[in-house]
Formats: sequence, structure tokens, C-alpha cells
Amino acid sequence: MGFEKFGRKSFTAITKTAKFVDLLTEGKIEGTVCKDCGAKFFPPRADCAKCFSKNMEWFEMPQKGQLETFTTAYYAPLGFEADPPYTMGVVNFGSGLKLFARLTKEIKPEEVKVGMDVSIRPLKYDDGQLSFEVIKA
Amino acid sequence: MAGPVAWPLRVGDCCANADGSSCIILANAEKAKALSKKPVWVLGIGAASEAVNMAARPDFTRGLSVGYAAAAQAYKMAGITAKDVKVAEVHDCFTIAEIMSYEGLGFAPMGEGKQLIREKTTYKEGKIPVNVDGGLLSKGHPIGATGGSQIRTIVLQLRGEAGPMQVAGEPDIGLVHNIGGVGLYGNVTIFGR
Repeated sequence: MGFEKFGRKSFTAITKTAKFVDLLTEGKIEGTVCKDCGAKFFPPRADCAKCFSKNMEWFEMPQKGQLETFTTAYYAPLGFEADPPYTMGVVNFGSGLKLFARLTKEIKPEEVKVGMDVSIRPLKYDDGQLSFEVIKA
Repeated sequence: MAGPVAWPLRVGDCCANADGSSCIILANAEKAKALSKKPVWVLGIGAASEAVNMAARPDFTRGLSVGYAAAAQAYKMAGITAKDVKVAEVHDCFTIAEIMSYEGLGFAPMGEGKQLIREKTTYKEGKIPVNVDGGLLSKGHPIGATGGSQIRTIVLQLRGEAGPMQVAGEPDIGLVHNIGGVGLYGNVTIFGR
């Protein structure tokens, strides 16, 4: 499977990290870690952005982090018209590992707080597109 | 919240799409003197970049890191500090962006940029007038032309030819702060006469 299955709208057909989508199909949300310097990346990188090594492997993202910042969007670009309002934010897992994603609609806007404990899970849209979302821890 | 775009920003906090153009004539010192009776000199430049992905940014409390880094480079090259700037144009693509720019440029300590507006320090009559041409929010933000437009305003100010928007005190040093993307890159340029 290529990368076209990923995201509400995918603009990327093929990448060196296409395995990310296969893993997502299996219910796993994984990033890459550099075997040489230990730097972790999410979204996954095929090569290390810190030491430029190609010696990378996959690792499963932690289950628990804290919401570092967020916003609720009431406007969406072409292709996303049906989605607003939706809340997105950055989850901090510590040690420099962060993730940027939408929050599940199950979390009510008034419940969203900076610093709240959150988790992540794979997401399948009605049209079969794959993604991941932030949920309550 | 009326007219919400992305909480807490509303329509009035955000630039609308706009068309426009700008042009700058750049020349060496000899040519500049021949072309203009009042040439304006580039005293310092700074340029910085940051990760595209929000999740790859180490910190959100400092506003835009590129603003701090580009300002530090430009001040060093010009041999001045924030206190020497007499008039400035900053990248207020959103209301919050202007406040963050004050802090990045050293006009205010981190977290206190809002005080400059409350105390009218950055008003036209204030100690450090900012965006006297209305800024991006009022003048319009034709992406790509905005930077040139900001330079035009500072050049007019340093020449004393800014008309009704001329600030008092015959400013001798002006600053332009320009941001691209979601703070992906930032440029600070310092001008003198």
C-alpha cells in the first residue's frame, strides 16, 4: 500500500516511509528512531535529520503524553469543507518527541486544556482514508 | 465568538487574501548616490528558519523563534540594539504575530509585548512607532509583495517623506521584520540614512 491512503486528503503517493501506512492498517502508530544517534521522529523520517544517518528503525509511539497547545479551526481549505469545527494540537511525549494531530470529536471543546493527559489511536474515515487522532488518556 | 477562524483568532485578527506588488531599487553605494539624493542604507540583515512541522518545534512559549534569531543577527551586523530603532514595520499577519514580533525584536521582554499596545508605546506618537502605514492587517498582505511594501514605508520615514504617517524626531534607524509560512522563516533588515 502506498501513502495515498493516508490523511483526510493525501498529496503524497509514494515515500520512503510508506510502511507507516501499513503499520497504521495493523493498528500501530509508529515513528522512526536513528540507530546511530537515538533521535526519534514523528512523522517518521527515512533519514536522520540530526546526524544524517540512513540507519533507522521503527518504534511504537508512547501511549501517554500531554497536550502542549491547541486550536479549534472554524475554517478549512479545499477538500476539508465538511470537517470544521475541529480541534488540533501538539502532544508532547517528552524527550523531544511530539506529535501534531486532530483531537477526536468525542472530546468536547470546553474539555480541552493545555497540559491534559492524552493518548493517540488510529483513525479510519468513512471513505476509507487512514489517519490517527488524539484521544483522552 | 463572532467570526471565528482558528480559536482564539477571529476574522478581524487575520489578514484577508490580497493582490499587490512592490519594487525596490537596490544598488551599490556609488550607484545609489547617483540614483538618489536621499539614499537609504542597509545596515544589517538577519535570516533564520524553523521546522515546518509544529511537532518538531521545541517551544511555543517564545512565539516565533525565527524572529529572535533573525533580529539578533541583524542587530549584531548593524552594531545596534533594539533601543536604537526609531521606527519599525513588523509582520502582523495576525494580531498575535505583532505582539510576538515585539518580543522577538527585543522591544519588550517575553510575555509583555501586549503592554506596548496598552501603553501606546508603538503608536505613531509613541516611543517606538510600529506599522504606521497600517501594517499587514490594515494595508493588506499580498504575499510576496509585503516585504517590499514594508521597506518602502521605512525608506519614506528615514527620508522624512512619509507625509501624514511621518513619525516625529527625524528617525535615523528603521527596522523591517518579515515572516514567512507559519514562522518557517524570518528576515530582519535594519536601515539607516
